Amino acid sequence: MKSSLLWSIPLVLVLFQIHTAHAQPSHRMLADACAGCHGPRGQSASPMPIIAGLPEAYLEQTMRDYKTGKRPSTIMGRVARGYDDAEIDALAAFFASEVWISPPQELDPKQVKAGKRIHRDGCSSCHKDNGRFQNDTTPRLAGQWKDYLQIVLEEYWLWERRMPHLFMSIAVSEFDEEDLEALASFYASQR
Amino acid sequence: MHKLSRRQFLTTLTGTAAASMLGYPLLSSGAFRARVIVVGGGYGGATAAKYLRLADPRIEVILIEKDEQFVSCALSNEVVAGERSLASLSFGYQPLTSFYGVKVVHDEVTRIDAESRIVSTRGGEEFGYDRLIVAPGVSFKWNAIEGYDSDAAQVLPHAWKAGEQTLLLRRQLEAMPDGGRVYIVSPPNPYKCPPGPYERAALIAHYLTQLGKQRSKVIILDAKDSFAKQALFEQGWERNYPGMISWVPASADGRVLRVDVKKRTLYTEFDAHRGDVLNVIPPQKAATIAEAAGLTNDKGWCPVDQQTFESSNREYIHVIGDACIAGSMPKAGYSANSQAKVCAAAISALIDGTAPPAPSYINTCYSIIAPDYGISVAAVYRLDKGSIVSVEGAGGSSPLDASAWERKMEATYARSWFDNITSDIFG
Repeated sequence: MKSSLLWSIPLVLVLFQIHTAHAQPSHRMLADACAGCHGPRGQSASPMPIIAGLPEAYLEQTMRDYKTGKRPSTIMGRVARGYDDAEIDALAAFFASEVWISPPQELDPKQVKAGKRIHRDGCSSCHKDNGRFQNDTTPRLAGQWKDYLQIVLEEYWLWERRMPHLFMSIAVSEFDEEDLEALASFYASQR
Repeated sequence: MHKLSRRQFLTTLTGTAAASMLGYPLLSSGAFRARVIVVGGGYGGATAAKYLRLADPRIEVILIEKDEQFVSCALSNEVVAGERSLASLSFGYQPLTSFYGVKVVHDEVTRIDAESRIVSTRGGEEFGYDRLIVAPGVSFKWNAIEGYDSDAAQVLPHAWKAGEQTLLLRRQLEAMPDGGRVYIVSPPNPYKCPPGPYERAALIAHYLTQLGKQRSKVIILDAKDSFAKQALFEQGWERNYPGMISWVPASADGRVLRVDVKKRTLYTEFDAHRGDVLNVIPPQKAATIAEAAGLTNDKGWCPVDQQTFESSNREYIHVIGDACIAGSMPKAGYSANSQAKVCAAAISALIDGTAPPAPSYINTCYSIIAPDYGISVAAVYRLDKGSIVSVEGAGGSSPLDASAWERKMEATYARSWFDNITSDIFG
């Protein structure tokens, strides 16, 4: 009797802890709140970036970089600081499991052509397969919104933004400002 | 340019969503486990209807909304400023029916019988419900400013519900002389879209400048002594429209007590202000249907359980959006959208007989001060001891020392937010 009572103490403590700990919202509950800016399931309908189907590790790291300020932002830092590590992991897992859909975009064919040349000479060793390739550190670019691609390229191009991934800033510094729009147009034209 | 591609894209998106729902019973196949009625098809109500169907297609959802089209108040200051058409803010309800199986009834709810759980409409219909979501928005307190009622609003627009009122205000700006005076009467808290009057002041100054009337003045007479994103607005006004905009707080006799429509004059305690354009945004309360259904408190707003949004006054009735008291969330489109999702998940669980899931809420409010100059305020919210509170260390306003490039980005993102939230609701 006595021994069984003692044995049950840790169990009671565990149960108590579960009961009092901050209940974590489900993946869907957390992610649904993001749709107001990133579109339903992360499939954005305008320049805010498409995040559906990006690699989980990439999304996790990007959210953490926003949260710590390592990556500058207009609003994402303020939003990312609202989530703890477990919630960031849950969000990343949710959006990584969704499907990327490349939106149709009206693009200038001349820009697309010029962008393709720049891509081949300067970017294709990492952003393989015309920007469709993605891994833990490389986001998919093919079919992203042109305006967003251009914004991020400008961020790398403007040294005062102090973006992470120094190699990207160095790579982009080779380009003229007009090249950025061409490059963005090329990736946006891909599916 | 975005218009066409966005439409096409939405078709792609909704097509996918529709395909993924083929496995579920659709409305016509009968056999629902419960019926939820949603009153009001704005940011809150339309979101709730869609997300309830996504949460559980065995729930029948009937959305009752009097207008055939929703016209967004968010971004309507760009219509006032001649930068955007009203059509670009208008959305139909057809996708909610076609893709998500929401039954949409265009009628006005005139009575809610909480005892029998039946709503009645002006059209003479009755609908029974298992649960009811009331998302009616705000009503104006007519005559709270003496002389300002719905007739006065035909002459001195409030433009706080988008549509003809928005266009009326724009026409008056177009007609006024250079060197004229525009007055904006800003209401006491709480009211819908807290930064709205101050964004409007900026975009009116922008429009007057575009029209070659930069000698004109925009004067805000306020019932408050401070307002949302105040430092950012004051900085933005001065940078973009130096000397054009002034703000008179309540403590400096800014509170308007009376309006004389014929004389186009506003009266404060000690002063009279005659203007060329008078934009009077009246004090607000939860919409009258909420009041009639016994959902409001003595201040005119609806207290709710902030996890399920079930009314504190009436069982089986949930109130979301501007009409409800949602802790520290402001009355804004994104707030309503976020509350609707939490409420839909809770109702789905309650119908299942399980505990409502842990909630997570978010809100961002963008304001456009000039076409390439935007600012924002954001917050992530959690439930803490029954109240919605913002997560500490997160959220807040855009920095005061942001670069011109960042201000431009925020204006871009403001419009992008609008495209995405409306595709989340009506797409």
